[in-house]
Amino acid sequence: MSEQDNRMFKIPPHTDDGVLDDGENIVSINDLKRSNERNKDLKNEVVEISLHQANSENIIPYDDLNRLKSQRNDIDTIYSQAVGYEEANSSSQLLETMDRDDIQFYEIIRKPGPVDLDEARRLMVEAHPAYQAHIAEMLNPKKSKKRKKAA
Amino acid sequence: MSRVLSKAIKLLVGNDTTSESLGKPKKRPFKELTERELIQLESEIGAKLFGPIRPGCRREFFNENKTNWIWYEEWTDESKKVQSTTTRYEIHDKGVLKVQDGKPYVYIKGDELRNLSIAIQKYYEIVMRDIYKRDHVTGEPIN
Repeated sequence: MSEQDNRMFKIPPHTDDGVLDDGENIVSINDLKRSNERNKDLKNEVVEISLHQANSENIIPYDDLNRLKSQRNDIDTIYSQAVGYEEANSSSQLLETMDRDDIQFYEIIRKPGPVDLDEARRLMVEAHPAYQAHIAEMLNPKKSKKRKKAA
Repeated sequence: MSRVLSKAIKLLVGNDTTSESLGKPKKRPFKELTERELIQLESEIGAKLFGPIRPGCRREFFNENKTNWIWYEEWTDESKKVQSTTTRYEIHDKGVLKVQDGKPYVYIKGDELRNLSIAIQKYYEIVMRDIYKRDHVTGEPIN
């Protein structure tokens, strides 16, 4: 394959002993093949079940089943060729690639405490204006001095 | 006509000004804080979490809503031109997405995720205690 073809197909860098290296994850080619086979089997199973169900309910005439099935397989192949590699490295598998510490920190970010800030703001907006003014003055002594001078 | 004008001003600048007080601010000792003003107060605390701000620079760091955190930096470059950068951190089910203008969106991890987590914890603790007068662990009001 020429250098141009390599660029065109965006083949990830690989080493001589048959591993793909996307910069962070090392994946064995055999594992990748096995996983693809498993996915293919699962997809076919799903197609079989849904088509069988459709046929038993006389929704789709039986003659159309094989045509639909091959179309479905074509779509799957095109789809996996087009997005398969990118998808494997995207958000859907993010938590799998995060280490334990990262997941812990992510959980803290998601919910830092028992009362969320939106709720706290809502309660403060509803609070008595005098109390609010006291809080604002306490936080911004310079601004309130300026306001006093201006008055 | 004055009623229409009053309504328009109210829509533009909120409840602080009436037609009688145009150009002459009305003294309001019990002025209510709006959600926007509360976010500004929070941002004053948030900006200090990352250490001292250099002279001539401006920083904002605040929680915009349940899922978004904003970090804004403004500075003057060598040619005296004001530069700024805004980073939005979006909390998704799958992770924290970092959104910056003109750059590819990425889910953060490692040190960046840790630093953001520490900043958010600190922000939450100080803001809850100083602005909302609530215990950051229990959520109960502080007397």
